[in-house]
Amino acid sequence: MNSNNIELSTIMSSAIHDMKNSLGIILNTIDTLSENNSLSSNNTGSLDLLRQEGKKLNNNFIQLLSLYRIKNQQYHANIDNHNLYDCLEEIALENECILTQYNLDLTIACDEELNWFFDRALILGILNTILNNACRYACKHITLSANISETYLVISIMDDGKGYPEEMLSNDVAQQRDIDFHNGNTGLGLYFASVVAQLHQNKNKAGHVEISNAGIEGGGKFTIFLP
Amino acid sequence: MALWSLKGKKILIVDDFAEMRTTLRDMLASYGANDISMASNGEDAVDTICHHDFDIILCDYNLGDGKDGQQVLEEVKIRGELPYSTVFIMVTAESTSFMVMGALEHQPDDYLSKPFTKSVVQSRIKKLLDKKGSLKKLAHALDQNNNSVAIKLCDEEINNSPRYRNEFQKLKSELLIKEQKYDEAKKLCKEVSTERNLAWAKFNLGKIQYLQHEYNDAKKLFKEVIKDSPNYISAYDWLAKTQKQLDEVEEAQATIEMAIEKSSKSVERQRYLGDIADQNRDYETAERARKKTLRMGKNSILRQARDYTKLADVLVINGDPKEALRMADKLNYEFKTAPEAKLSAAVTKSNIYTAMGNESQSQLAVQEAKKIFSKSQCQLDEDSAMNLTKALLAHGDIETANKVVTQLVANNHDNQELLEQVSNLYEKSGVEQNINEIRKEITAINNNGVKLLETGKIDESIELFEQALESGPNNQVININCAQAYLMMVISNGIDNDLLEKIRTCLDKTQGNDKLQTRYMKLNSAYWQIINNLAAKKT
Repeated sequence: MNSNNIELSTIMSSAIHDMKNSLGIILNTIDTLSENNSLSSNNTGSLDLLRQEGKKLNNNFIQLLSLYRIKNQQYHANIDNHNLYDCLEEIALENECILTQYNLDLTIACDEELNWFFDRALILGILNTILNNACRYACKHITLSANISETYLVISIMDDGKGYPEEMLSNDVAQQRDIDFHNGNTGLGLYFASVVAQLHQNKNKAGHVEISNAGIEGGGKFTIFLP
Repeated sequence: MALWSLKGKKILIVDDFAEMRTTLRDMLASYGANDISMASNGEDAVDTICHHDFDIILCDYNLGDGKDGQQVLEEVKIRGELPYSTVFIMVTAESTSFMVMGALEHQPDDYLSKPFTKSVVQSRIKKLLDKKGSLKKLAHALDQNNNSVAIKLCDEEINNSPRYRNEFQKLKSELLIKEQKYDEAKKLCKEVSTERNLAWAKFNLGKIQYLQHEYNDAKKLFKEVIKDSPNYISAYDWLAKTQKQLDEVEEAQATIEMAIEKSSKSVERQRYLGDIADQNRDYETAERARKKTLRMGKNSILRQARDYTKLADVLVINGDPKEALRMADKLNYEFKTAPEAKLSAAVTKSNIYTAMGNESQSQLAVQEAKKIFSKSQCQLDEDSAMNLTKALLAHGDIETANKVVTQLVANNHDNQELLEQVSNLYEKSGVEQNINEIRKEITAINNNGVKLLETGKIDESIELFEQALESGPNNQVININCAQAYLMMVISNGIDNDLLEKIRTCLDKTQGNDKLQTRYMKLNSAYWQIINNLAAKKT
């Protein structure tokens, strides 16, 4: 890599960081606006759209920054012990608005005392993005689940939508070097998820992700396995 | 959820952006919070936390030019001003979280990364308050350093709450190490490591090996921790300590420089680099580290008089005596009310003038040091006492030198290495000395006191120990014997608040002495037992 490239990537990363901060302020302002009830009812829809798109943008920024750091070996997974129920509840809270907006039910299927070792910031980032996407495709229901299977923690997000397109399922997510980014957020989200899963290693085993149409009534199902 | 409220909870918000403070305040106010304080920088935050008790502290990591959030946390923890019951949440921008989230020695209760929604903040705070609420007994034991009780309470949590099992296993292993129960601690760390490689368990195993003087094993473990978790800063600090024990001083310096590259804002780490660079005669690095130590310790209790004198010393070596003099003057000014510091400043000045070839000024500075010593009856630490003795002998003032040395020996009669250094100083100056006599005298008093105590003559033994403490109030051996005598007095004659206070003072003076640690632990836990029984009776 020549010095111009290094400079450019550094500039990119700090620019993204800056944009993300502005976005934080925008999101907070949206919250304040909607709480004040100062808008006429036909405008609240627009506000929800703003918020939803803003969140998506924010998740994208986080993913880009994290990928940049992981690829530059600046990020070392910070593995600690966390409670799964708390984590799932938190991402449900993060997506409260969009769930209400699309009139979706969300179920958490997880033992309240289930704990596991992982990097909370990274894993919550992934789950947030995938849940946000699931909300767009689901009809009525979304289920978040977590349990232990053999020596892996298995977290799934299932919806009752029309499922992933055939061409996405046939690709191994981890191998998607030249991932179909025309699918937009879904493609980047899955790529990020597989990179993060692989950062999680224990006793010679690495994490991985799977997508299928084994969700609710043939809907999409995203699963991440963490050793 | 509707019933949950922050009403009456004492809350502190620390952020350098007014906008962010307002946002957070409004968020919390919407959950009923009505007792919210604010601070806009790290210095104010430390000050506020030291003077008030809070239930919840929300502190931004990035606080502009001064101290950052991590330094605020470290300083109030080191000063013992952050009770275990307080919820401390570090607010981070996503980009900084990568630096902070590494395994630091002092961890907040939780990290909250921006941007966050109201409901997430509420859910986090609620869970932390519930958790701390259920741990009141443990909080009490930890705040009082009552380790044996805290260990028992950790066991209860480990057995009853899978949610926090890992956290309390970690805490328990740290407490076991403090109590010197190394075998038990080792067993625990190995047990938790069978399923998974845990950085904290390996780190604590390294610490145990170090404390048991198995330096090669310790080195291997710390290196493994660093390889697996390059952000585990404490592992670098301990690896450097270990390398120093193995006389690998250059490696130790490289290790500590790597730690500083990762986390540069610690005053202690910069000071340590200064010490180690001095030892390596790498005076360029030493000067840089000393300057940073001073700059970062500004307005902080972490700043020591030694930070100035050491910088002055290295400036003299690096050929800038003028700047060295300026440092001595600054020390003199900044620590106006501390005679020990003023004395160090004077001694340092005398050395600088000697190096400049200005004997008359050097003589004046020594006179000044002598005046402070005789007038204020200050108790000097080993370093200052040695430096003063050296300067006095160099200027032929044997009488005062003897006085300083008498105090030094009275405070350290069992420190063979130090006594030898003093003897060498005298020998070099060709002056007769009476170190052995002073030492013999103190030893005799101490031995008699112990004998009296063994035969149950508590009053008489206390008389002897107190007499020895008059000439050497910091003597750790005498202090611990005296504490024991006081304790026996309390046990036989009943509670006496004056005596309890005296016990505390004596014990505090012996804390941190490796040789006396086992006895300290025993006496300290006996002391807390008395205090707790007293408290139980009152309620």
